[in-house]
Amino acid sequence: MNSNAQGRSRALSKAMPLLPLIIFLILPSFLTGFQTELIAKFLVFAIVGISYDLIWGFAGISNFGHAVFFGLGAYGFGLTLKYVHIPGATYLAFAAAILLPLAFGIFLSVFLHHGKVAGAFFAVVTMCLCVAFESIASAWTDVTGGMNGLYGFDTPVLGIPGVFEIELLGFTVPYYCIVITLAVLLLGLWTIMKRRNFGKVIAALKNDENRLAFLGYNVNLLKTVIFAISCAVAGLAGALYVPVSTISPSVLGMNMSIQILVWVAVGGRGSLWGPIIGALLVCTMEQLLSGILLDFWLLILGVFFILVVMFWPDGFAGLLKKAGSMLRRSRSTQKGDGHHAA
Amino acid sequence: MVVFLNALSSSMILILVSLGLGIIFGQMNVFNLAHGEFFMLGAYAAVITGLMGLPPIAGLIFAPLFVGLIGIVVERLLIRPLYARPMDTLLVTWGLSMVLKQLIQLIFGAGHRNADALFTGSMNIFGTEYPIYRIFIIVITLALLGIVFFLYFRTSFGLKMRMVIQNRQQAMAMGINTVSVDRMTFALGSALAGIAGAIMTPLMFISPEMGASYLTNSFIVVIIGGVSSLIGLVGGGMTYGIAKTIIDFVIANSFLTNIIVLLLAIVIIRLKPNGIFTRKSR
Repeated sequence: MNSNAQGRSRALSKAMPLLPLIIFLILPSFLTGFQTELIAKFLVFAIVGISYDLIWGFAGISNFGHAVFFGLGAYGFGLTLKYVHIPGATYLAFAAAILLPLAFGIFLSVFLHHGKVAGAFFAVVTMCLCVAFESIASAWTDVTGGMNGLYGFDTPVLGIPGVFEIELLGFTVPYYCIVITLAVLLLGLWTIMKRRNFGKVIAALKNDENRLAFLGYNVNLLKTVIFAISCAVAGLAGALYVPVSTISPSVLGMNMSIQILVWVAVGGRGSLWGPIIGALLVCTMEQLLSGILLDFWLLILGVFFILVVMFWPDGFAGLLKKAGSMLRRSRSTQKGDGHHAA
Repeated sequence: MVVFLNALSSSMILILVSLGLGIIFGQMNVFNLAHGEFFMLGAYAAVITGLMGLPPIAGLIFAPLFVGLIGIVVERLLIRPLYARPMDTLLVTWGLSMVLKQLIQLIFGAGHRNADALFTGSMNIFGTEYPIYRIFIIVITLALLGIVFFLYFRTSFGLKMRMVIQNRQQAMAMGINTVSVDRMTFALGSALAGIAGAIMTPLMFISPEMGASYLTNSFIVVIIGGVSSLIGLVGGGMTYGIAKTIIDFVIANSFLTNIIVLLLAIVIIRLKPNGIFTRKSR
C-alpha cells in the first residue's frame, strides 16, 4: 500500500516540472499580445537570472556586475548584425553574443580569482567594472550609439537562408517558443549537472572552498568554469533580449545588475526554479504597481528586498520547498507508519 | 598650484569618507554599500538646518550626529542580525541604499539643491587666488583626521577597536563587549561620511544620487590603501585622489578619466590584494 502511494507521489513529483512548461505554452491563448510579450521578456530575464544563480546561489561567487555579461551579449548580437551582412549572419550573431561575454568572463575570473581576489572584494570590483562598462557604452558613440542605443542592424533571421526564414524582429510566436525552449533546456541541463559529480563539486565551492582545495581540487579552475558557463548563458539571454527591446547602455549598467540580483534573491538563490519565480514575480509586480505607485515602487522593492535577505534567504522557492516538505511529512504521518524517523 | 590644491581638497574629502568605510570594514568585515547614502544624508542634514534658518555651522554639527544615530539604528536592525552571513550584509546594505535614496527623493524631490557656504570668497595662497572654502575643507578634514587618529591611538575606545580588529576572539575572551564596539565603530564610520557630506554641500549639487560616486571611489581607496591600517588608508586616499586629478587634468574627458582610473584600480587590486601600503597580510 505504501509503495503504491510512494510510487504515485514520485511519478507526480517527476511530472511537476513539466507543469509550468505546459502552463507557459497554453498561457498565450488566455492573455493579450502585450501581456504575452511581457511574459517573454520576463522569461529572458529569468534566463539571465538562472545564469546569475549558477555563480551566486550555486557556486557562492558574489558578483555585483552581472549585467555586463548580459549587455555584452546584447551588444555583441547587435554589432554582428550591423557589420556582418551574409546569409546566416544571425547564427554568427548568436555565437558572438555567447563568445564575447564568455571570453571576458574567463579573462575576469582568471585575472581576479588567481590573484586571490574573492568574496567581498570580487563583488566590489565587479560593481566598479559594471559602472565602467556603462560609461564606456555611453561614451563610445561611434561603436555603441551612445545613450541612444544601437540601431541600424539587420533583422535577425533564423532558419535556413533561402529555404525558410523566421524573423526575430519584435515579438512573434517563434520568438516565444524559442525563449521557452531555451529556458526549459537550461533547467534540464542544470538538473542533470546538479546530480553529477561536477555539480556536487561546484556546490562544494559555496560550502567550503578551503576544504575543497585540501581535497585536491583546483578551486580557481572550477570557479572559472562555472563563471564561464554563467557568462555564456547571460550572453545568450542578452541576444534574446534584442528583438524585444533596444540595446542601450542601461542594459549593461548597475540598475540591470541589481535587478538581476533582486530577482534571484527574491525567487530563491541556489534553487532551480528560484530565478524564474523571482524574475516573473518581481517583474509582474513592477508592471502592476509602478503605474500606480511610481515613486513608491522602488521604495517598496528596497524594503521587500531587505526583508527577503534577512528573513527568507532562500526566497520564494525556499518557502515553497518548506511547504512541500511539510505537506509530505504530514501525509506520511497520516498513513501511520510508526517506523518513520521524525 | 590651483590643480594641486584642488587635488588636495578633493582627496581629503575622499579620505574622510573612505576612512568611515574602512574602519567599518576593518572592524566588522562589512562593506557598507549604503555609505554613499550616509554621505548624502549628511548633506541633506545640512540642507535641513539651512531650511530651519540656522547658520551653516549648525549643519556641520548636526550632520554627523544625525547620520551617526542612523548608523547605530542600521547596525542594530540590519547588520548585527546578519553577523553570521557577511555576504548578505552586502545585499542588505544595498537594499538600504535603495531605500534611503527613494525616501530622500520622496521627501525632497529628485531635483538638485544648493546650500550656503560657511565661507565665501577667495584668499591669496602662495601667490594665487583660491576659494577660502576649499582651504577650509583641507583644514577641517585634517582636523577631523587628527581627531580620529587621536581616538584610535590614544583613547581606551580606540584601544578596544584595535583589539577587536586584531583578534576578535581574543578581545572577547578579555571581556571586551565586541557588540558595543562594533556599534560605535559603525556609528563613527557613518558619522564621518555624514560630516563629509555636510562639508561638501556648497560645492556639489545636492541630489539623492550624490553619494553614488563617492561609494565606488571610497571602495577603491579602501581596497588600495589596505584595510588593516589607518595610515595606509590615508596614503591610499592621497594616491588615488592625486592620480585622479592628474589624469583628469591630462585627459580632459571626464568619462574617460573615470574608466581609466577604475581599470587602473582593478589592476592594482589584482596585483596587491592587501593594498599598496600594508606591510603585513591579513
